[in-house]
Amino acid sequence: MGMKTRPDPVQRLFDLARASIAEDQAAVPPPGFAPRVLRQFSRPVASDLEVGIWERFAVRFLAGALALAAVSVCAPLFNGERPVAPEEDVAVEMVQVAFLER
Amino acid sequence: MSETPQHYLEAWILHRDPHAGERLVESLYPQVARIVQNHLPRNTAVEDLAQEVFVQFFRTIDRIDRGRPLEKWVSRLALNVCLNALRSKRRRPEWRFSDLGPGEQALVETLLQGDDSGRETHENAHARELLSKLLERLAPQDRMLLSLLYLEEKTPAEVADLTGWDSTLIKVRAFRARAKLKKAFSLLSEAEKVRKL
Repeated sequence: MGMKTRPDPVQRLFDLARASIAEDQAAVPPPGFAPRVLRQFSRPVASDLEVGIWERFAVRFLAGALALAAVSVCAPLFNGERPVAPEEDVAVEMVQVAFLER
Repeated sequence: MSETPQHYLEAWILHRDPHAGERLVESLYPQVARIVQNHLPRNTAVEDLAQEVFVQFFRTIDRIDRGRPLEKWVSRLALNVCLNALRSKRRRPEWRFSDLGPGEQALVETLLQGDDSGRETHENAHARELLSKLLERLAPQDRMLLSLLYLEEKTPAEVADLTGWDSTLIKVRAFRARAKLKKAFSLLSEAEKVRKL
């Protein structure tokens, strides 16, 4: 004669929980958040793209203008032109002026 | 034209038709709510997490493979959102028998006796609450896996299809997770015996 085995309590717990979920899911209320969520994504795809293109264009134009300005300011420095005359140049000039004045 | 979720999806993608968008949410909501309810982290409302699923859904709507069933995409998305929510909630480090409500304590006693034939069906909610507390002791993936297998009664192959996890890994992980759950329950029963002394 077989012995009566005790049911697995964890399995029984799953069974009861499943029954409870089934009771709850008999009537699912309609979601109240639908309009709120949809509003976030309701812009047409085309205008999204347009805005994106114009924004990208403006950013690139400004970045280009800034780079050009920076290059035009710094180029003489890189070409060896000195914005401020060094002391020896001034000294030579003074000698020249003195010589001419003699 | 038949009014299926697929049809509403097309109308939304092409024209951003708000009516189609609402019908799409309404038609997918029961499925999303069921998944969310089965994998809900503590202190989180079903509607809040379901809303997060739909935000993700509309954010990634252009990536949907329209040749495949929409329901499968939504299920996978909902499971991913739930898994992230479970990960963001820290696992409860420890709880005692006294942390359980009176209904849950009574249920533990009944389950230990092995005879719950006299139970009322409305007490099933206690079972759900108790199971949820036990599952909180597990890692998020373990918890999700046990819920899929034993609450939603999915086969390992179905779980693999839904989650993208390897089916061998699923079986091994499920075996270990179930052992951990049993251990958590046995700790409870020990506490119940001590309480009775």
